[in-house]
Amino acid sequence: MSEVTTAELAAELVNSQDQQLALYELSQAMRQKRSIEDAVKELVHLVTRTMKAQAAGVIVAVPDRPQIVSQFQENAIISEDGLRIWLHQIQASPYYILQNQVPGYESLLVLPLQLNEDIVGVLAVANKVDGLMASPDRKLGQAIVNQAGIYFENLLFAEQRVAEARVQTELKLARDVQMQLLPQRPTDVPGLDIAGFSEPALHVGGDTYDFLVDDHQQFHVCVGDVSGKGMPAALLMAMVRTTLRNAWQFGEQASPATAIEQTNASLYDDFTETSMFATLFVATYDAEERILRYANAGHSPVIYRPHGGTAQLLVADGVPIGVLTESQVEDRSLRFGEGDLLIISTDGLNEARNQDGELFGQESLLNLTDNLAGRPAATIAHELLTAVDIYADGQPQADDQTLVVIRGLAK
Amino acid sequence: MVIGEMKLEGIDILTLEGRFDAHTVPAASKWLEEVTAKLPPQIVVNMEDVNFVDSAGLATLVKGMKRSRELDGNLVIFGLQQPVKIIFELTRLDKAIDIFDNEDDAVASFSQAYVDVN
Repeated sequence: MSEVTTAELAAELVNSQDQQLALYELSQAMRQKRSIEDAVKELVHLVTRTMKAQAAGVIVAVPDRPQIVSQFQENAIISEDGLRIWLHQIQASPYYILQNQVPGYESLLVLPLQLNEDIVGVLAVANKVDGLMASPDRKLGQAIVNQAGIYFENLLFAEQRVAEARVQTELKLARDVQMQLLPQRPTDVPGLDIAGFSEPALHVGGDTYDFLVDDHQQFHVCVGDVSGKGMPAALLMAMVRTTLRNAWQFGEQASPATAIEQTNASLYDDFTETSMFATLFVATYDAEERILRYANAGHSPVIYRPHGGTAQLLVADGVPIGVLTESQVEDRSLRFGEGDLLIISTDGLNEARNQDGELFGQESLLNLTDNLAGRPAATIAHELLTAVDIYADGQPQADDQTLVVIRGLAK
Repeated sequence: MVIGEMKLEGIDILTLEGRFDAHTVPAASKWLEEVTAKLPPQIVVNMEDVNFVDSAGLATLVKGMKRSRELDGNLVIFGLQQPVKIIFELTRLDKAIDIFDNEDDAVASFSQAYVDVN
């Protein structure tokens, strides 16, 4: 073995030891870091120390996140602007060492920082205290920055998981609030048997139903469906519910058509701004005359089955709210005595699809209604929803599903 | 879905195809936004090859219609297949949006308005 080879081997051994030590220190330091900002700061300290440099700097530019810049130095030889320029240049050239070419730098090493195979940052190391930068320094620096990249990836992944969990929590809270806005207790109205159900396709939805007995002991009911799904629809629907409640409670016994027109007038601009609209069915029960007065702004399906008759669709006469400045709805009346049945659903039921993509359809709802007439309202609601569920056969619920069943009882 | 565009006598024609739903709405919505920037917006939507419209699709047409009318124009549609026609009837959007059997009638509705005004 020649002397030169031995010297080379010795140098390599020293380099390799330096590298292992640096990586060990890096792993120890990174283990305690919870944020990528802290980890970057730690990396800069560690590189300056282990590479015996006067200064080091790191820039990390991850999409959808503020740039992270950290420098460690006695005098400002590595500037933020410099790091940004090098980050731009490094995309073309994988690494470089400059010796006495840039004022202020005896030697400068710039290395790429990769996350998930994309170059998103650089590590810059300046002015070794014991000589000029050379190939072993590049290898050591690259080994450190590669390892650091893996830690950063993990930290970013964890950060993303936390953010997602936070969104999930907020959605769950929003869902809880929306569920609380639905009638919570069985509504006790003499002469009526009432059931209601609503299940959004996502956490929250644009469907709603509401029951209210006003100061005059009049019973009001509504079912509404805001176009679209999820949070935007849910926000608008909450406004519809409140506006309608105001009309019911403080509207001087406003008729259903008047209540709908008031809601439309109040919310027309909001619906225009948000490019949405809502179908709305509103009814008020006259216990004296056993009549249900209703108005329908584009809502379907609504099914009426007079006692002893057959189920029929009540087609809307008004346009949905938020479409025109006037909904053009009219008040209509239904006889509502013993055995009469009203089912107000949203299109999430009749438009549920089976495995072959076929719709459940309004005909099925009408047939089921005839078969179920005479059963308690809650049973009818349960059976209808179960039939839709069986039909969908595990297909994910594509739209919000809401159902109100009202049945006339003996006086 | 394919969106064709054609300009005819100052009228912009949007041709929709297949399902007009949440997935296909953004492209149509963007086109409508650009077209309603012109004054007055005169828009004809060809629905001959549309077999399904969901509420997002309906909302997009309503938005285009409202915007056009605000600017003294209009958005009209033609060529509704039976299932689509039923959706317009059930929601009573047929009372809000002008619906025509064919393109000629849809286009003529604008010159009619022009004649009426003058």
